[in-house]
Amino acid sequence: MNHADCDRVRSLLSPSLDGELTAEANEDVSAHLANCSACLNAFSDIERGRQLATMLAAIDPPASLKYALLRLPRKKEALVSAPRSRRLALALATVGLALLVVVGTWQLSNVRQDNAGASSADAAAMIPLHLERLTEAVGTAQGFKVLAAQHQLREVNVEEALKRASFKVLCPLQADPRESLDERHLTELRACPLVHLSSVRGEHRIVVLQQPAGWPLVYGGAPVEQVTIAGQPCERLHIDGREVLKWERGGTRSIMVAAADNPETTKVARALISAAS
Amino acid sequence: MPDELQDAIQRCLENDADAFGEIVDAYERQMYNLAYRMLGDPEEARDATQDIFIKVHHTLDTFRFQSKFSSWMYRVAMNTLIDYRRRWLRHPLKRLEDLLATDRSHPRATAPQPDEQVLRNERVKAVRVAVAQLPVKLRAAVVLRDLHELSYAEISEVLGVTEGTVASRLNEARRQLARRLRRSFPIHGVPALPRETS
Repeated sequence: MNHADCDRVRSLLSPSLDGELTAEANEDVSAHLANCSACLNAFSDIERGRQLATMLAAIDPPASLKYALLRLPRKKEALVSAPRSRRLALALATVGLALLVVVGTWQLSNVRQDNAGASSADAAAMIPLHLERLTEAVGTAQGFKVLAAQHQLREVNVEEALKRASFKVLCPLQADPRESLDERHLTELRACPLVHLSSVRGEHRIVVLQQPAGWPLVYGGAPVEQVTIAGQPCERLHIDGREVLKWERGGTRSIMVAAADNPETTKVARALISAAS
Repeated sequence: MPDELQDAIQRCLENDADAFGEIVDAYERQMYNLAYRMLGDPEEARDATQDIFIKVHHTLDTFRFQSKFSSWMYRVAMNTLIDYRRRWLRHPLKRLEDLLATDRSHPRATAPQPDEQVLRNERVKAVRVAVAQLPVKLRAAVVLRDLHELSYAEISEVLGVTEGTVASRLNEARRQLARRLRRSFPIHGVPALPRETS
């Protein structure tokens, strides 16, 4: 028995087990195995590995999956039929965004109603972003809309955000961040200038807003701490029981708001900064 | 490919939303299982399956009716899953979770079980973990062949490699499985265990 023979036969062991060889080739393998204990051992291992692998049976998909899949064509239609301006915004968001985003268990009640009528003319005047107001507005769709209108916050392409961040989307209609998205969620998300995303762990909600780095920003007198996260200089401050983290990169300012006792805050910031670098 | 599915593909290309439902019916289970075995996590598999079908829907017009639709479908799925896993591993939080991962397999009934059943479940779990720990190229080969029962020619088309490469990857994957599971299955030969159930 020479080595070349053994090499040739060993390359045929799996095909032999899987019925992929001709009868003649099979006989050739069998004849070799009858006289070569080393190859017979290799054959036994491969046969055993094959038997083990086939122990794993098919799993039933979750029932909600089909519901989500059957709605995919409608999602595509909704994107195709969206106004050109929105499609352009989505495209810009796709190209230029690092992103993101949210989640929050907070129930904020005092959204400033007097901001509700903000217009694009206001936005053009570069209204300073007050971090105090931001922490108030976090957590409600209306609050986000007002902020976005005032501060020209960039719209996030939901599908792209999902792909890039591997986060799951939460929108104001969703009670549970682990609940899957359906069309009504996506419709609302597309209409909302900011997107709510949740960490996969889903327990702690965090909001991240983005705007041009040069936009005026008001800290409201809270002491600012300088920290470094994932090699990126950040500013950290606490307002009304919430932790605010701010960093700037590539002309974009990201501001993240979370509950002050949220142990995930720094981890998520690190993830976002790393994902954008 | 069944004739009715060929018809469904044609109608889907003509923007018939119901026709897409027929493709979903035919492949949902296979694609979910492929995603589950490749990613090793039921929640990720669920999301990845949606990504697969989104891609199928968006690229269906590239399917040429000369080849088998199932091979095309598996190829789209495998490319999606490989990208998905790459992104997944790049994500710091995910990587952390991956490292800390406990068994996040499908929830099962927790009613008291006889010792023998517990042992069987442990062994099935050991196989599942061993498959999940195979290098991605080897895992793809073994999942497509031993769990999805694709032929070497189909696997070769799905993975874009020669049939000889498929054979050598299967040899190596099976050898690694046998080696890794020697402790869980100390006796030579695999005892007749029931297949994993959902």
